[in-house]
Amino acid sequence: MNIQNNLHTAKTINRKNFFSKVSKSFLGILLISSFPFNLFGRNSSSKNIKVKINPLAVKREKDVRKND
Amino acid sequence: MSERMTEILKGVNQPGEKEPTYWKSLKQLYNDPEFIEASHHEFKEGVKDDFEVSKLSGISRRKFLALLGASAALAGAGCADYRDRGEIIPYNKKPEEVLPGVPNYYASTLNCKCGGGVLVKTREGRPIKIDGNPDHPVSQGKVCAKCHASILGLYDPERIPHPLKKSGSGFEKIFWDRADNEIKAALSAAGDKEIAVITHSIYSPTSYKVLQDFVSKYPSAKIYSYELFNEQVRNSAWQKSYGSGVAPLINWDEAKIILSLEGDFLGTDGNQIENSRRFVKGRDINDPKNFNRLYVVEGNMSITGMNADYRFRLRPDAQLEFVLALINEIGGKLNSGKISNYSLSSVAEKYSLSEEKLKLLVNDLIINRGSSIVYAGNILSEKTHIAVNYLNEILGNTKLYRHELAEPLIPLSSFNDLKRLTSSMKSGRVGAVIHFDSNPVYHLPVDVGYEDAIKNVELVVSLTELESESSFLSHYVLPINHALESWGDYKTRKGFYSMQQPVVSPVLDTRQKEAILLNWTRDNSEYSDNLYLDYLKSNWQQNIFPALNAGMSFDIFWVGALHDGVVLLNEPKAFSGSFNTSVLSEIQTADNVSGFVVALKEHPFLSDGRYANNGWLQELPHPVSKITWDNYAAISNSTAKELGVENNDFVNIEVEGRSLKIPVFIQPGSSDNTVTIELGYGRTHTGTVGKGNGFNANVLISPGSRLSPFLISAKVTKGDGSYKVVTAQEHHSFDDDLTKDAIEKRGIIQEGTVSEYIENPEFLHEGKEHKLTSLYPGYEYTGLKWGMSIDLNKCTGCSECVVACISENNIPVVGKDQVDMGREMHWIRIDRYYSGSVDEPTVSNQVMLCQHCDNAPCENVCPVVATTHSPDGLNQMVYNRCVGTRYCANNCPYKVRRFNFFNFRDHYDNGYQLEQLFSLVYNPEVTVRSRGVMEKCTFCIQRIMKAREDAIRDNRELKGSDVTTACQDACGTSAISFGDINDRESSVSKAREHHLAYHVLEELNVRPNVTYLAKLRNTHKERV
Repeated sequence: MNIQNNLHTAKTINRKNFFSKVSKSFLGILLISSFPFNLFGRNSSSKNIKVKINPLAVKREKDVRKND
Repeated sequence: MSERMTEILKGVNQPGEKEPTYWKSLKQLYNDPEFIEASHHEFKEGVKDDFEVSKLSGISRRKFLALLGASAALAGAGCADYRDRGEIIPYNKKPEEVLPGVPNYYASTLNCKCGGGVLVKTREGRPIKIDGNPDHPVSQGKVCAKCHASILGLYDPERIPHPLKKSGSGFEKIFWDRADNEIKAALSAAGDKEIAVITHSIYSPTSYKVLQDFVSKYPSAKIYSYELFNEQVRNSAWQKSYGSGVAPLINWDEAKIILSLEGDFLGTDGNQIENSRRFVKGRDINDPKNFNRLYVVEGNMSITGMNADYRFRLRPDAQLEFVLALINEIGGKLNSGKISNYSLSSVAEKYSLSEEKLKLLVNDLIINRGSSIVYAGNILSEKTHIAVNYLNEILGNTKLYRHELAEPLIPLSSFNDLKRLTSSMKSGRVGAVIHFDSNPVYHLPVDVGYEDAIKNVELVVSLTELESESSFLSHYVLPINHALESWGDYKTRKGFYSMQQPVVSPVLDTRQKEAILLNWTRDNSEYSDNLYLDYLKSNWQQNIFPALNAGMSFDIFWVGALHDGVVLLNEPKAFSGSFNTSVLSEIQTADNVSGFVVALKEHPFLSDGRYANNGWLQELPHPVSKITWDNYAAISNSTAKELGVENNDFVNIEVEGRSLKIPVFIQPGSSDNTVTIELGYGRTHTGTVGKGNGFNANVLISPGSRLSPFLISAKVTKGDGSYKVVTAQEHHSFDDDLTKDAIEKRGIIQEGTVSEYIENPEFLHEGKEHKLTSLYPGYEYTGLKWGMSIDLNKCTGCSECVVACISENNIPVVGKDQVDMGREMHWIRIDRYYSGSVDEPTVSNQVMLCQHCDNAPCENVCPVVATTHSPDGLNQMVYNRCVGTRYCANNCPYKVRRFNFFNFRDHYDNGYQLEQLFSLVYNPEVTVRSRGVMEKCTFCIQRIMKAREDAIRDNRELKGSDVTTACQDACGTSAISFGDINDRESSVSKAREHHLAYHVLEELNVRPNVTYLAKLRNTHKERV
């Protein structure tokens, strides 16, 4: 009984306010993670590089040099 | 002034004399208080910050927690964009050629004057190391420092990743189709207006064919070819002397006496690798009676000058006078007559040259006629080259010539050709300009007026890997493949073709430059990735292969050619021509010498500036001055006093209305009133590594100079202010009162003369025998024990070993500010010591790396046992154990340990070396070290382990000859040997037993495993 009373008397956040804060927080984190850090990072255009061998090149099995 | 100092200033301090005083810099020589103070400390000022409680921030608990919370939140948000580490299963479909963990090797060619025959090591398809191709007739397994470092260019994160089109003041990204269509339309619309294609030298027959096809398609097209550093003056002098052909190569190995006049044949003139290899054949300590003798006459200390037996300092504009006097002197003695009125004694008196030494030179040249050679440097005037040709002629030295050089397929354009082009540009007669992997805006002399003229051209296209001064002024910038992504063929010499193949597919959206041009010659056909390969093969199949009479099908031949990297030919190399004596009338009078002369030279690493964005080469200490990251005006001590300047002070140099403000560096051994500047710096448009370093001295190039475009009379005055030039020459000096003058007393440098050695092979150690005792019981190395020997007679100080080590061992670039604090990370360095006086110094080079001491003092002091000794004699580092106390560095007498004060990959230039593309250059077999860890030379432990694994797999014993180190592979003169010192037949073991073998700081009884073979100077027995 007391518990229920406490629930009624406790300061509660209304549903609209809750979603508004969640959305703002999400936007804030999104902004922080995407914008300010990139300001200081290098403006690189070399992301997701894939190395592919050229199948038409002719390899050697090993280095044929000798230590004499 | 002390009596000793007075003696040194008088020059009584040569290596052959009793206990010479060696010095690394003027500050050390003059006992500068700043140097003395610095040498008392292990680390440079500011390197270690003392912990002082009073200096700590008085931040409150509440604020601290608030900041901690905020930092955690921000870090969490920031880390959301974490770096992609790649697939967890890399090979769902494994390429046939790749075995994970097993390297592949590809032979290819880089367009470099060292020959450029390379063998590229790849791991999982990723090129990680460049070495010389042992099958290449010129390279013979060795390439220059630039070739070693050019792998970094492949992974330069600032390579242009896609086509760009000018948009306002910047560039917009466009697709290749659009670029091709727009440019093709513009080229077709050019009509009768000239289309200028500007390229460097063309030695590829198939590239040449592409350019011809382009000219056929666009008849108004004209090809211009240039090189900033070229042999045009030498070749025109040759043609005037002999009527035809190009200046020959020289068999340096057959020369008993070499006289080099302002020439750096061991450094930047010609093919340094081939020249050095041939030169050191005459420096074999096992054949001392056939040592060659090198005389050098020059205005500024060069790599060749450092290796001279006798060196004269003479301003470069007085060289003609000197040669004419020499011709008269020798001509008089050989009865071939005089050709001018100059006499050697008056020239000696005028320029303060030692007459006694000159007599020795003259006698040597006469006695050894037919097996001596006189060589003039590239910057000297045509008249001087003609005089040198004549001198070789009367000495009968022409039999040392080798006529193997192939001429460029498109003759180099003259300055007048280029001036005519810019004049056409200004008058609107040029419709389009294509920079075919060239940068004329930066390279061409101001007189040519290219930068202004290009603004009048409607279509400017740059085909380039990196942004450049020329691409910045272009309408389209098209990114091209790196040499390791390209197909090609080269013919730089008679007797063989050098093949180029892509060891990796293009890592960015780039195309081969020839393919781009080829695509513009075709109507309505789609571009294909194999466009140029098909063209190349077709050219070979139709035009080159039939003449080879190979006796096999083309397909088999092609695979073999790519496998070997070379195609040998049977071509005549003979030259028939006789000296045209009528040309002598043109050279009888030398110009008056007065005022200042400026000599513009090629930088040994940056060349004409094309390697400016290569951090390895920028940070590589200059072989002579040890300066990194900048160029400078080298002047003599007396000239500095006359101008009232010290190191780092600016001087103003004025030439025909053009001026340059540049800091000075007092270079011992420079001639007075001579300013020497190396080009390749002062780039304004390139990547962030190369931009803003040094000063652009190209503005001083003067095609109209009475001497040569690179040798100019100038007005030099003291400038305002100063600029800090960073040199590594005083780094790792650690003297206190007890060890002062250590270099001579401790025999760090030990050397002698050939005659001393012939008379008494034991001269180096006689009277110095001592018994060393140790507190520790000895350890018996019963099996294989690794050791190295370095023959200082063969080391020219070129630094190829340093770059190879950087490439092999993932050594980071630290930046100029960190080099200034003595924090460069190179595991191997070349210490350069002077002896003699400031004006007439003698140079001794010494390669210094971890000596892998048996009683290693670094091991005893490590509190966490991070540095230990292996049973095969290696001094090892366990990076995971290291806590960074730096006790080991403190206790190392050789100062070869390097501490990671930062994670330099992250610290340098805002994480430049952490870029995904850059990271591909790292050798996966070597740990990438981070902050707080000590590191040093490992004797390439990864190679030893690989050889051990192979031996175990093959069920055989590991042998010393199974392993080569990166520095050893790179050394162009084979000065470095590595192997098992317990194997009596190994070269390293024989070197340890040699009469000339010594260990640095032997008396400390640390028992180093690096043996030095003392340098012998081939001076005359009689003292001069």
